[in-house]
Amino acid sequence: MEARLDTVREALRSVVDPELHLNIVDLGLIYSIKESAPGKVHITMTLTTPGCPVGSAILQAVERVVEQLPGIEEVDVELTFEPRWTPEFITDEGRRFLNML
Amino acid sequence: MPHCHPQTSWRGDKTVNLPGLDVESRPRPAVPSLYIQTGLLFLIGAAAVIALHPGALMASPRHNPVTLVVTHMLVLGFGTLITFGALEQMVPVITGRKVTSERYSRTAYALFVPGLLLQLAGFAAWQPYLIAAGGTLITLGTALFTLPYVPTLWERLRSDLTAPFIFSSLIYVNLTVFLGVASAVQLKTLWWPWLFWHGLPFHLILGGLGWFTQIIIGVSYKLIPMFITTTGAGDLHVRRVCASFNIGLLLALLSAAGSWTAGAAAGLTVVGVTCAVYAWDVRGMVKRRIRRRIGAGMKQSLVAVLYLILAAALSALLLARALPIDGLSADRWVVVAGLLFACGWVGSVILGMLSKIVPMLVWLDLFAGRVGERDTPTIAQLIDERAVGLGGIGYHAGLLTLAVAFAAGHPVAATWAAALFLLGVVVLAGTLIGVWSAR
Repeated sequence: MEARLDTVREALRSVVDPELHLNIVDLGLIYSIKESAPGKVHITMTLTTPGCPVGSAILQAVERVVEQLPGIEEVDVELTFEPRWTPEFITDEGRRFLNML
Repeated sequence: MPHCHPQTSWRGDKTVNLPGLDVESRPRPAVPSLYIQTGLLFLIGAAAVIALHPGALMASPRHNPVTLVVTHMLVLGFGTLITFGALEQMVPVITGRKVTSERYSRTAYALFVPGLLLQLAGFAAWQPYLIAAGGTLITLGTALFTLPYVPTLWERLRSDLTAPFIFSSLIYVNLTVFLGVASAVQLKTLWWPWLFWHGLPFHLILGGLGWFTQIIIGVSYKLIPMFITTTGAGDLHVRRVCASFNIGLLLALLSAAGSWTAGAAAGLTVVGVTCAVYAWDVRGMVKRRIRRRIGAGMKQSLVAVLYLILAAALSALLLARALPIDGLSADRWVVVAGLLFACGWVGSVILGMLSKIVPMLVWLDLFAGRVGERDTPTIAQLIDERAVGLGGIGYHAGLLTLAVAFAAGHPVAATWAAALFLLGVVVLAGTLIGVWSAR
């Protein structure tokens, strides 16, 4: 199961925030990935701000990318703003990437 | 990862009641684009008039046709139209609901723009009735555009950080244009002599502070953290900034109405201190940023804060008669203060933010459904950042040189400076318009 969730996490790296140029995993938007039932993935995530203009585009992409993975039958994307995202959530790799830009 | 408290779920294309995610209510880019492109054309027009008539701008600004034409092209044609266009896109996103219909906004545009052209013709030919007729259309267009936003923003006053700023500023812009019409009628009929002597300061305070400065400050608290990847100021702090700004503004306006000079000075001081707090907050946001590089457009928006400080300091010195100047020199310094405010503060912020907003508008229209695909461009790739940088250099070099030339009363230097400023404006506006044409 862990391997499958790692695959989901890796796939989510292809979803890049179009404003920050950074993938949503390193951006710290993914709070948790769980397999609630066989083939059913539950993702809890946030956006950089509640009024994010590209928010719906990112959520659609998360759903689309994960659905395409083999063995995934259903994706449940749960959106939360608690805790509110801050730049502190960006991974070290993400910070290095942003500083290179 | 910190403990999460889920609020809602996302289910594909289904609408969810959450700000920014309501796909159905997101406005199409046509109307914001119409307002923004028209605004950019007015900016080019204003810069061209400055370049053609720098000498006339050095004369007394009171009832000066050239000064009035340039000022209204800048504040109504450029600043207000573009702000309306940005609101058309932004408010539905932050409130999560459709605010107004496309036809409604186009009707407002059809009143506002011809009204402005009529008003400009009235200023140029010095025909008060023409000015008033144009002003009436502008007032109607402004009311038609802004009123649908009022109930929506009212409901979001507590839940959204920028809503209180936008809500208040929309009230002030309506008061500003209404007072403008009343002043134009006054020119011919002398129906209210008080207005002749005291109307202008109210018009300037309502428009310059109540409308532009307030909405810029409010929106900046949301957009700067988004655009430079930084931690914003705390919610409570931002709400205090909004309250302080409006308390100071009301104190200044009511005191001025009652001819209480000390009260007006106190009110303006509160507004000035609030602006200083905002400037300090911007400094903090820049220092806390994660991304080292700041794009050329955002640099312009940030530099604008320095213009605000300069314009405010100069205005305070002029109001206190603390500068050793008088007569025509004093008039020129008033023009310098206005130039630093309109083109430096308002103009720089708007042009800088547009370098982010315009590509985002186009990106949302073309690529919103393609996130996660390999060939999907980033928003920044849609705009020529180098051209924004070069245009910005021309804009600011021209503007600062023009301010110095006006202050010194040097028409030849002013002509060359105005030409450089015009060049910068054309490059910046052309680069932004080019983002649409690249589609």
